[in-house]
Amino acid sequence: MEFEILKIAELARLNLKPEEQEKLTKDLEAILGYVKKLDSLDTSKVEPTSHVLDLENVFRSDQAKPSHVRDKALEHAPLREGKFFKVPKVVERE
Amino acid sequence: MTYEPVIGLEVHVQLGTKSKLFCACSTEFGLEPNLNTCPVCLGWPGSLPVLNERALQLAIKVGTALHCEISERLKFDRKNYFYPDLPKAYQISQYDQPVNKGGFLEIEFKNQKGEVVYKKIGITRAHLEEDAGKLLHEGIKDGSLVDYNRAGVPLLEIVSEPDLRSPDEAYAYLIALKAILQYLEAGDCNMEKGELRCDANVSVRKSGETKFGTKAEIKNLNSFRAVQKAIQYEIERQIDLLENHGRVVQETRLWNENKGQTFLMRSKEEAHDYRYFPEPDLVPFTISRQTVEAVRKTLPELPGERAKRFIKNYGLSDYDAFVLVQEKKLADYYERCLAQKISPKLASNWIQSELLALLNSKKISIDESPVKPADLAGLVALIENNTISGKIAKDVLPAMFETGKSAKALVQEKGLIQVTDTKLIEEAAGKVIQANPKSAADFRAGKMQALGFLVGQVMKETQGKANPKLVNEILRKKLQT
Repeated sequence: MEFEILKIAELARLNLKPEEQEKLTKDLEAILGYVKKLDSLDTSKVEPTSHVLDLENVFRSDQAKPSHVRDKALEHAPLREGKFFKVPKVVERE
Repeated sequence: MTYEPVIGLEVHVQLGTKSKLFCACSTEFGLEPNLNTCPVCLGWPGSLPVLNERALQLAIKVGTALHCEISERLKFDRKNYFYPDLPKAYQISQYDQPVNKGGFLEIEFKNQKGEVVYKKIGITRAHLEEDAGKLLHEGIKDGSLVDYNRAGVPLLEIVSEPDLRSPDEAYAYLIALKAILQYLEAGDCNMEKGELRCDANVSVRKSGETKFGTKAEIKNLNSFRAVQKAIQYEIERQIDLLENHGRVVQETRLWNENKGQTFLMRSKEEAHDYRYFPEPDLVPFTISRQTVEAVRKTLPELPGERAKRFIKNYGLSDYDAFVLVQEKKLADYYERCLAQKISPKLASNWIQSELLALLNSKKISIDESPVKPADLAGLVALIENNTISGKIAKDVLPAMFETGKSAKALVQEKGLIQVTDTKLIEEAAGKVIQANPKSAADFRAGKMQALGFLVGQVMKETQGKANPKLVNEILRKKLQT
C-alpha cells in the first residue's frame, strides 16, 4: 500500500510504538483496500464533483451574533489560564 | 558580476466584514480572549460552516479591481496542518478553484534616475481563507496560550507574480494595493491590528539569466518599510552566498526588525504536506457573469484613475497626483479644498508640505485635521490674492491649527496683511542697500546670490510682510540705477 505510517504519524504529531505502527498499518491498509473497491466502477462518463448534495450557493448574511460559549468551552479544555486556552509548548521544528 | 532580484509578494488582507467567514462571531478587534468564538470556529464536532456572502462579494470586488478573471465555479478546500492556532487541525482555504485568477496591478515608482515610471505587476490569484488564532509564548514557561478570536476571520490572500525587481518596486506594490483596498472599502488594512500582512519571496539571478534562482520566503514583516528593508538585506545576503559560497538554499526566513537581518526559520525542503482536499462541509459556489458585471459597475473611481484625472484637470505633476491619491481621505480633503475655487497647484503644495508636516508631527490623521478643507482653502486664497506672503502663511497655518480660527481672522488680528505699498518697500530697500554696501556692490558686479540676501534683509525690515515679488523688483531697479 502506498503510504508510510511514520510519515502520517509525524504529520499528526503522534509518537507510535513499534507494535502500534504494525497494527495501524494493517488497519489503514484495510480501510484503503475497502475504498479501493470504488476503482472498479467506470466513472469515465461521470462529471467530477466535490460534493454529494445537489446544492450550491448556500450563504449566511454578514450579521454578527455572540454565541456565549466561551466559558463553557474553557471549562472543557484540558488546560486553561484565565480566559485563554493553554497548550503544551509548541516550537516550530528547525 | 551584476545580479537581478526577483520578488513576489503574498499579501493577506482582512476583509471588512462584521462577522467571521463561516460563522456569526464578531470580527471586532481587541476584545477579551476567546470572546468571539462559537462551536464552528472552535471546531466542535457536529458544527457546520456557512459562507459569509459579504466576504465573497468583497473578494469579487477586489478581484475585479485587480483585473482578475472571476471563477465561474469555486469551492473550498481543507489545508491540513497540525498547530494549535488551528482548532480544527485544518484551515478552510481555496486550493485549485480560487475566487480570482490572473490579474494585474499597476504600480508607480521612481526609478534610479528619479523619473516616475509605471509598471504592471501580475496577480497570480486572490483566494478566500479563514485566519488562524493567536498564540502567546512570551513569559510562559510551561506552555503557550491560545486566543481564537481571530480564528475564522475572513482573509483574502493576494499572490503576485514574481514580477517585482527591486525593494522599491515591492514597496510601491504594497502602497498601490493598500490604496485600492481602501478605495474599495474592502478592508481597513491596519497593519498594527494585523489586518494586512505580507510575506516576500526573494531570489536573485545573474543579469541576463532567464531561469529563476533559488528563493527564500521572508516572514514577520510588520510594515511596508520592513518589507523594503528585509528584501534589500535578503538580496545582499543571497548575492554574497552566490559569490562566496556557491548556492542559496530554499528556506523560510524571519525578519528581525531590531537587528535588521533575516534569520532561518525552517527548511522548506521537508515542506509541510498540507494534504489539501475539498471541504465536504461546504457546498460549491457558482458566480454568474451577471453578478460579476453588477460588481464591476459598482467599482468606485480607483487611485490610478483618480491620479490621471488630477494630472489632466488640475495640472498636477505625476508625483504630486500620486502622493495625493494614495490615501483616499487625503485626496478627498484636497478636492474639498478645490471646491473654493483656489489654485489646484498651490493647494496641492500646501497640503503636501505644510499641512502634512504639521499633521505628522502631531500624529493626527487628515480626516481629524483641526484645519478643515475650507479653512486651508481660505489660507491659500489669501496667498493667491497677495494679501499675505507664503512666508507669513507658514506662520499662520500653525496658529490656525492651535486656535481653530480662520486664516482671515488671524491675519487681521495680528496685522499680517502683506505690504504691497511700493513706497514703504522702497524706503526699506533704500535702508537695506545703505546698510549693506558690500552686498550691493557684489550684486552690481554680477553676483546674483547677493540679491537673495538683500531681499531677506528687506523682508526682515518689514517683519516678513512685504510682498517678496515686489521687493525683488524694487531692489533690482534701485541697484541697477
